[in-house]
Amino acid sequence: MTVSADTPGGGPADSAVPAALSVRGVTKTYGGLVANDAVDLDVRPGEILALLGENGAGKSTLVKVLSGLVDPDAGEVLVGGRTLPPGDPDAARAAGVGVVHQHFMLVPDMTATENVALAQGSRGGRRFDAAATRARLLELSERHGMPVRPDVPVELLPVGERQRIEILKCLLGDARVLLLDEPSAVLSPVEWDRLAVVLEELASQGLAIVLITHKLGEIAAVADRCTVMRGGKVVATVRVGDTAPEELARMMVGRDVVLRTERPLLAAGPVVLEATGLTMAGYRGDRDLGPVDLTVRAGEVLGVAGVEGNGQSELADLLAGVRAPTSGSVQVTAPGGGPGRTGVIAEDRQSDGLALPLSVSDNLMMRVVGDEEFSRRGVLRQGRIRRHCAERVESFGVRTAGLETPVESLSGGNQQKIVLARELYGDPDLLVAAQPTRGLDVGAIEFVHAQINAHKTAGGATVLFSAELDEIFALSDRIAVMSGGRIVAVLTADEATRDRVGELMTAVNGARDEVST
Amino acid sequence: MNRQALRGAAVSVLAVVLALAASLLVIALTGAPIGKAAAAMWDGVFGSPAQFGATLTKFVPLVLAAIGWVVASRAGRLNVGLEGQILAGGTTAAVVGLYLTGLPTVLHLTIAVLAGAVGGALLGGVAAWLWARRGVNDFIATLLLTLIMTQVVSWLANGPMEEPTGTLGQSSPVADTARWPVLLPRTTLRTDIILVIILVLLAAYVLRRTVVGYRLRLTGANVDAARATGTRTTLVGVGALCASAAIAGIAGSSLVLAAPAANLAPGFSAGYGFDGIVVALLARNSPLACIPAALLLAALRQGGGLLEARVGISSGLVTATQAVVILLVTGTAWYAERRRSRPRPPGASDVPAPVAEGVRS
Repeated sequence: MTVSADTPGGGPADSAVPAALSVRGVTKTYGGLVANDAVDLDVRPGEILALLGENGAGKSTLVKVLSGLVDPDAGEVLVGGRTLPPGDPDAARAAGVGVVHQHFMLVPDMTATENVALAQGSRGGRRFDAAATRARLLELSERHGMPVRPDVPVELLPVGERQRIEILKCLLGDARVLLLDEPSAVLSPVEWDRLAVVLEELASQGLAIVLITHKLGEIAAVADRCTVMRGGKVVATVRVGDTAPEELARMMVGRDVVLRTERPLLAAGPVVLEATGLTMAGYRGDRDLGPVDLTVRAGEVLGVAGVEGNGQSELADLLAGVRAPTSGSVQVTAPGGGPGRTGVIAEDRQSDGLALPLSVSDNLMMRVVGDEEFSRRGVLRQGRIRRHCAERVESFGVRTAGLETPVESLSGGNQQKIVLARELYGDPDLLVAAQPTRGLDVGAIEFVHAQINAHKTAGGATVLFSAELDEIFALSDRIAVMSGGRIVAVLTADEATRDRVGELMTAVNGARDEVST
Repeated sequence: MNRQALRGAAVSVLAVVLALAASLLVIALTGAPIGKAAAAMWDGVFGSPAQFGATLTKFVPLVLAAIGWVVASRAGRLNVGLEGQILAGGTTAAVVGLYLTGLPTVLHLTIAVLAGAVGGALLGGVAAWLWARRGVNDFIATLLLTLIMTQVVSWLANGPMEEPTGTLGQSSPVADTARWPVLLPRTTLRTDIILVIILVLLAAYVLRRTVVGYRLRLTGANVDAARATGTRTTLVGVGALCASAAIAGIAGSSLVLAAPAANLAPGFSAGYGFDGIVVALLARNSPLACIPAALLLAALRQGGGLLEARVGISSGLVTATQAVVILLVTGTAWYAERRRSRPRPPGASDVPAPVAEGVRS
């Protein structure tokens, strides 16, 4: 297997064409942290280059440098052979660098036409010619097969359509290089497939495309070459066709990675979670959640899949007891009878799961501080608390300077380990895990998956919410698919295929997504 | 003490040194001899037992108000109405001291001080109720109630509670059985300073070592996480506001029951409630650090008087020094925060922000 690391500096032999975008020795440090270390990169017109790396590998910093949002310490960026003035977003845009950020830069209550016009604003002078902008938008949308509705406020549009507006916005700005930051994060598999077709078509018309991602499957699907980053450095640039996914993963992580965890198969036990007729009025604007009925048994993991924003966060909150339903009930029963305990991995650990300024020890005590074991007549039992926390930190492998260290100074993975160490203590009967691996690197993800499987093996019931279909498939015994605030289907692991789940995810949204242009 | 606390202390000390240097510079600019001014300041604080006693007398309400602020702000509540709660506590203490007679000192004084705590807590309770049940901002509620309380005290002192001649615009002195005994003869210092030390230690202990204190700190650090893991955060907020106000009420009772005049007069709170916030800022919300911080501010207040008399420098300049202390402390704290949070890991923005959501119940 050839890692044909065609050195980006010299450029491969087959290119007489100058690179559309070149990065030469870009270095950027934050404090003592080297985010980008002498990064070199080339994209030619008509090429799709994947930029692969874990969280913290320096991808986002590089994107910021390319779009002029960050002024690098050293190095330069060339577009079409001309050096860009550093740290000048307007110049980058004018030179033809279009960026589709992970979080869309659209004004929610403006229409597609208005948003596009806004982006052109500085160029078109004072007058805003709505009719002309609208006509150009529709023309481009038709030419590239990206249907959009020009006159509807974007907040009412599905995410896929908003993303298309972002792309069209770049094209209308005469972009020659298109950077897409994790474009699939908000898309269902079907929507992603559609986008992939569009990207290939755009590339065939001479656009240079940089696809930033940490998903190997996407790279295989569309990219021509792949530049792998790790720890701020470019590890290698390889041809995608010549390189196996395992090899890419190894380069990205720096060691061998188990891409698949073995899912333990257990006979389902008694019913632990019984949710009946759960509804929540107006969970997002005027959309109602539910009614939702769910049953989860001991030793079972129920995965909940869905495109983000279809009610999963709200359902997780209802099951966790953080929010009260408008109607319906959530019953958690211990396998031996009697009310069961629930552990919760909050979707946003920093805002809902941890108290960042407080110490590791304080954060581990949230649920149990009032227990007889740790306090007597309202006074904390220091020795026991210290022993308990030391044991938790030890057995979950939390890397911290000490128990009194504020949690905010720990890495995301270690913060999540603290949440797990707290929520899994005392073997809760039900675990509600919402996006448990969001923002974590591969090593931490392996750990979280192992913990969820261990909880299951110990006879606990789990509801897993995840935007990563791979995660759902790897861990779940049954898969519930949410769309438009409802559960549209519950499949067993055997009958669930990616295509089937993907179709169901967009069953309601997809229908609205089709636009006749 | 961990490194963070040490750095915090260093920042506070640095701010004070800078503020003193700045005020010396201002004094020099007014043309007064610096040496003489500094000597006057020193004498004002330590020159005689009477002066030192007076400094410690000012220390008492300052440190109590500061503790009141700390208790509320650790729970994430902003009780800027300490001044009003001091007035309320002083009023109820004066009522008990004036109209409840024929009791032995131990009993009468105890009841009067407790009445002060209850009076403060009642006013704080109104703000807490507005906050918890009506969604009124605690900052606004406590501040506005202070304005009302100022007028109420003025009306009481000039009306229903005025002394028999009806000419002085203040009440008669409270019964001797309701007054704190003198601690140092021929000074204004009375035994209430002992109560203060006990309250400071108690506050530090409760915050650090009890379940209630833990829940209070947790609520202040992240109310959502606290609620999600079983802490009744609204109750904690109400409790913190009431406790904070009760401590301010005790400060108010001291300002009546330990004062030379020992009566109710308009404006007897004399800004201690607001200065207490400065003390707490300087102490970086640590109860124990409130003691040195309050001593410093008491000394500035006391020393400023003699500065004016001897060197002819306006005591307004002393107030200006305090203002410089506030600016420097908050400024350095902000700077330290910024320095600490700046080197963010480059992957930080890889974590998707939560999708915007509607109001959480």
